[in-house]
Formats: sequence, C-alpha cells, structure tokens
Amino acid sequence: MTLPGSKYGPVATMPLPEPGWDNYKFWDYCKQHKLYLQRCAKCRNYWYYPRPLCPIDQSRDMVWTEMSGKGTVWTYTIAHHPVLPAFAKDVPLPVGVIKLAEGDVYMVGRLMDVRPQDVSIGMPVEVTWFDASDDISLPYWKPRKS
Amino acid sequence: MPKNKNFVVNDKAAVTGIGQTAFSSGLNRSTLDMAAEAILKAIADAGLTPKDIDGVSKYSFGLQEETENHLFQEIGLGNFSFYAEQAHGGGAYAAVISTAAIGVASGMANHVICFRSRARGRKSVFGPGRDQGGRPWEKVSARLTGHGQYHVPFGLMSPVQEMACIARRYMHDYGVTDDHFANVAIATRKHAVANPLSMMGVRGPITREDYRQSRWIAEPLRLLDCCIETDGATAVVVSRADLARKMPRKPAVIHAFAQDTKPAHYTLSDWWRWNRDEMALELGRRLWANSEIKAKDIKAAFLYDHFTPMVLLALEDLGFCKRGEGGAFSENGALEGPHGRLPVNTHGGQLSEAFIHGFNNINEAVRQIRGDSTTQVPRCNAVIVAAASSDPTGAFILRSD
Ligand SMILES: [Zn+2]
Repeated sequence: MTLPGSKYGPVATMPLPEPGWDNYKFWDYCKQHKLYLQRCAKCRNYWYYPRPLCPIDQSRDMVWTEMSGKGTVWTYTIAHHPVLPAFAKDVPLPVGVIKLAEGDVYMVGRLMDVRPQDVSIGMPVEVTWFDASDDISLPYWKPRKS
Repeated sequence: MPKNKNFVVNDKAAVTGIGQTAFSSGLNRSTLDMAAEAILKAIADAGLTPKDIDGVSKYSFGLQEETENHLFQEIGLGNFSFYAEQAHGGGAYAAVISTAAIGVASGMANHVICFRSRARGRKSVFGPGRDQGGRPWEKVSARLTGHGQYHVPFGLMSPVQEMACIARRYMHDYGVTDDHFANVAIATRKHAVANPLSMMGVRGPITREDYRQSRWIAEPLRLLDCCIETDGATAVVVSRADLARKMPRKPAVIHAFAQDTKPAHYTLSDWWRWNRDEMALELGRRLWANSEIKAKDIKAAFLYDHFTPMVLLALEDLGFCKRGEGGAFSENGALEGPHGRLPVNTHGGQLSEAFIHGFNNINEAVRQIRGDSTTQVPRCNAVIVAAASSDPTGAFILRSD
C-alpha cells in the first residue's frame, strides 16, 4: 500500500528569489552585478534586507546607494548536510554573515573560492556574482587581500 | 508565598492536567489524531470531561487541522468562550501558556486546553503540507517570496545552520567552547536515560568522547548538539486557580510571565545590527520584575534546547549568570539533575526526550512541581519555563501552591 503523501519530496532546484514591491530594486541591481543597499537619508544608516522605511526613525527617504562590495566574515558555518538536493554537490559548504565595510550592516552570503577549513571570523571578503537564472544574480563572497 | 502586585493575573491560573502521546521518529499519524490523544489524556488527568473545556490556546505556526471548529466537531471539546493563537514555533510555547492564564484569570474561561502536535519524524510520510512529515525547510518552493530569499539561495536554510552561525560568534566573543556545548548534551541525555518515555534514553548515556566523535551537521554543531525531530503531541489543561485547588492533581500555579520580541534568526542580517546580546536580557528583566520568586529561588529550569549552545545563551539571557559565563556555569555537572546547581530539562528536553517545539518542557515542569519526575529535584517548589530566545519569546514561573 502506498502511504498518503509518499510521492512528495524536497524541491529539486536551488530556490530563487521572487522579487516583490519592497525589494525588486535590490534584485534589479544584482542583475547588473551591482551591490546597492538602502541608506536612510535622515539617520545615515544602511539597511539590509530591503524594507519600505527606516526602523530607527520611520523615514521613507531610503536612498539606494552603491556599496564597495567589501566586507569581513562576521560569523559562518560549514554546512555538512545539504538540506536540499540542489546543494548536495556543494557540501561541505561555507556560508556566513558578512559585515560590510560601510558599517553596521550585515548580509548572509555564500563563501566561494576558499577551502572550508580556511574560513575564519574577520577574514576580508569581496562580492562575486553568480548568475543563477535569466532574471536572478546572487551576491556571493570570496576572499580578498586586505 | 506573598502575592505579586505587578500583574493582576499572577497566581490566578494553574496547570491541572498534562497528557502526551508516545514520541517516535515515525508514527505516521495526522497531527489532529495525535493532538486528540494528548488532549484527552490531559483532560482525564485533570479529572475533567471534554465538555468541561471552554477555552483553547495553541500555535498558529504550522497548524494543520487543529482549529477551534475541528477541536469542537472532531474531538468533542466544549463550546469555546475563549480562544487564542501564537505564532513562532519554539518562541511561542511560553506565550501559549501565559495567554491561557490570561483567559482564565479574566473570567472568559474556566479550563483552557493548550497543546502542540508535530509530524516531523524522518521516518514519517513526506506529505504535501509543511508539517506532514520531514523537515519544513525542505518544502520551500522554487521561488521564494518571503525573507527566505535572503538566505535560502545562499545555502543557509535550516535552523541548525542559523544557530551554528550564532554559536560560532558566541564562541568567538566569549571564549565558550564545544566542550561547554557537550555539557548540555551529556546532561539532557542523562535525564533521558532515566525517562522511559524519551526517544533517546534507550541509547544510553553519552560520554564527552561520544560527543566529540559525533558527525558535523553544521560546524561548529555536531549531531549531538541537535534536537531530535519527532512525531508526537503534548497537551496541558490550564484552569482557574480557585478551581484548581478542588481538582485531583496538585496544581502547578502559574506565578508570573513575560514576553519579548527581537530580530528574527532566519535572515540573521538584523541579529547583530540590533545588538542581540543586550536586547536578549529584556525578557529576564521583565520576568523577574513581575515575579516574587527570583532566579536564586528556581529549583529547575526548562529552557529551549533545540541546539546545545542556546541553553547556555538562555542561562545568560535569563540572568542565571552574566553574559559570556554560560559555558563556565555549565561545568561540573551543574545542569544535571537531581543535585546539580540548576538542573535543566530533567526529562531529556528537545535534545533527548522529543522535539515538540518545547511544549514537552511544560509537561516536565509540571511533573517537577507535582514531584513526579523521573529525575525529581528535591523540594522542587519553583521552576522556570522559557521559550526560544531566537524568536518572539516568553517565559513563565510555575510554583507549588
Ligand atoms: Zn533612519
């Protein structure tokens, strides 16, 4: 007997963003291989992920600003279990939280061109682009010379 | 014990019944079916009948078919004059209880049923719903509309990976080590071995060497740092305190509670932007300010142990030790019952009893107050129950009457 639901399994492909009203500009810039984040014109703080207003002062004057693409590894994990079949060939996979050079703003990012055992907190990194589909490019990170 | 003057609802409600199913990695039962079993057992334990239940407090996160009308028409509970829902998996379970306490203290209900039912065991059927077997994070769609789009495409997609990032920074900032994480794993397994209803007890105790040998899941976290996905359900009845005193079981009085919000762990982007280490102290501050019972009076703690480092962080967040001292606090069997400095999760917790989104911690907290635990702490008249600090969260104090 086939148990109910046994025909279902995890999604086979790498899940990709579906841009919405609050973030389509971010993904549009990514498509051009440009890293733009919102900066509040009032308090001058940068924000990631994209959001409609500044959570500090509720200003809606959030200016899309080009970033240097430089940062350091704030923290990271080496994922040994791929979770989704799309990542099976990539494990052990280093993925971390990058603190951007511009200040107190952080992005989750995959770490490329580095052996898992060589990743460390504070490691200087720079953005590198992965064209995941016709409409989506993802900001990844790779080591840079400090 | 002196009356609390802060919240009018303090000491006005008590847990009067507890129930649960078996815990397993593969029961192949619906969440409604398992919920019904736990609910009916809790009602019987309280000496009540299903029609006596006039309120419900539950989760909305991952809820399948356990809505008010299902509980009414498929389990036969009473007509609800009070109902409430909380979101946020591991962060919600304390709030499910405090909301029930508010419901009975306000007079809207006499007996509120609270429960959690999960079908997440690996061997269970992988159904189409997010909570019909398997891990929900394996059930993302090919295109992501929510905040998942900021981490899933990069390979950070499951709670263990997110908590691993937090744990790595915690080790870096405070010198906490995986040897400290092992203290949590060893303590909870010891408790599970004493608990015949636990999933991992049959495997026996673990040593520090077993811990070191266990395989990486997401560095710095190993298999033995992780909770065990489970099929099962637990339930409790929360009753008016004045009624509880006439009911068959020794009441576990809900003395005080508090809630708090912080940045979500899913995206991690805002976690440090908002200085999580400082913000996370707020829940404890609120709780102790509202409680006649203080941290030094607590005989056992029920903390959300989805992953071992989070227990050490919770000890700090809730004020049992200073920031960064959770690792040192855990040394020398401090977390091990019945005689450790602060026994934690004396049933085995989410790490070694079962993962019911923390809800089984409540049942064990009640057993400690009743004197029924398989790792019973002597003279256990006050315990704390706290939810995951990585979600909107809460905590409450249970005491004997
Ligand atoms: Zn601002």
